[in-house]
Amino acid sequence: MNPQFKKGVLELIVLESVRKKDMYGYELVEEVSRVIDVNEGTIYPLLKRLTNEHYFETYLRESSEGPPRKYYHLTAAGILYRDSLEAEWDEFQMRVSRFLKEGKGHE
Amino acid sequence: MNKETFLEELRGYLRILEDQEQEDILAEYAQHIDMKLQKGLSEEEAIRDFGPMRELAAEILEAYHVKPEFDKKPSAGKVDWKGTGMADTGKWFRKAKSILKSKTMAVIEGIRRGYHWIGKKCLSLAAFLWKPFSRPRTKAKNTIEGDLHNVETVKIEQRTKKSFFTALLKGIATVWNWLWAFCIWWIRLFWNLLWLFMTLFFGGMALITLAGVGTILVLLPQGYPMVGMLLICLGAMLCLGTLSCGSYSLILHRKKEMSEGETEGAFGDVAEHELDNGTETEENYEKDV
Repeated sequence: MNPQFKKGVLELIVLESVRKKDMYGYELVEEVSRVIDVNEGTIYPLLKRLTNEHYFETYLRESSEGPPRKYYHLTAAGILYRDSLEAEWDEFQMRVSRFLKEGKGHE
Repeated sequence: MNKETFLEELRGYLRILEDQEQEDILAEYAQHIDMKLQKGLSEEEAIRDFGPMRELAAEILEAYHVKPEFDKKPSAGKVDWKGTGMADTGKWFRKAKSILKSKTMAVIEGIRRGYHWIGKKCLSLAAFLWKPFSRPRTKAKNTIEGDLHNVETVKIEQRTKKSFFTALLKGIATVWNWLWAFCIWWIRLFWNLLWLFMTLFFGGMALITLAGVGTILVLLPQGYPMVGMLLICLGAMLCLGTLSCGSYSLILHRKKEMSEGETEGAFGDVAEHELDNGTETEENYEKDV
């Protein structure tokens, strides 16, 4: 898939994943990879940024295997942000697909 | 590259960040690599999945709103100094070259813009001065047929003027529409009141004649010679009743016609129509979906 497309929706996918359930970094990377094929390294900076912007909260939880894991939790601001992003996405893809449909109609 | 060297190198890129933040993000990467190892991948493979270190570091710094160029050279102290010193200076030269290039380009662009700006001003002045001498606009265009750019600027100017003019016209049209609607409303009111009055008047008369018919029907069997009167009354009654109904129907008819006229709008705004069409298609589209 076009990398420019991916970059735009990556944030939305990450937000949605965390909304469903609190996750730690690697879990989230796997979850996102199920949806789009993305460079795994790029998700951590995104998490960092969303945390810095107070859309995520983090907490540590012990794990049975290895060191404690840092879990990400979506804040109220994060939920609002996610919803606005989703609305934007819906609008965007509706417009684009409509435009493409128009193009087909003319042919 | 193994895990330790990867993390150290990445730390070199992230030196601008606070120690706590560095630890934070590096811990995530360390954990990621550990998880990959658990899954049976090698350290090498896990690190390869991150892509080029430089891009990764740039992305991390971007998340902190730090310019990625800030730390383009890793300058991870001792290690780099010996091994990649030459490469570093090469990079430095390239960077300097690119900066120089971009600066000169910016200067050239600035000069070009300034030149164009002056050119545009002169042209608009010329066009303005020329205006009284040339009736048709195409003439003005032909006379300033210098280079392509000139024609373009004149066109643009015309367009803005035109759009202003159309906006003015539109404004006048909307005011006119409004006044027109207001007048129509009053006219309609008077019309309707007139026919309502007529309906009631004729209806009342019809009722009176009905009463007359009733009395005549009572009087007739008693021997009064009132057959003629009965016929007259019956005729008048039917006539008045019809007139009343006719008046009433005129009210309704008039109303319908007006509402149709309004939506069609003798001065109907094209833009409004377009807007309507747009929403329609949108709705249709939603239905389709």
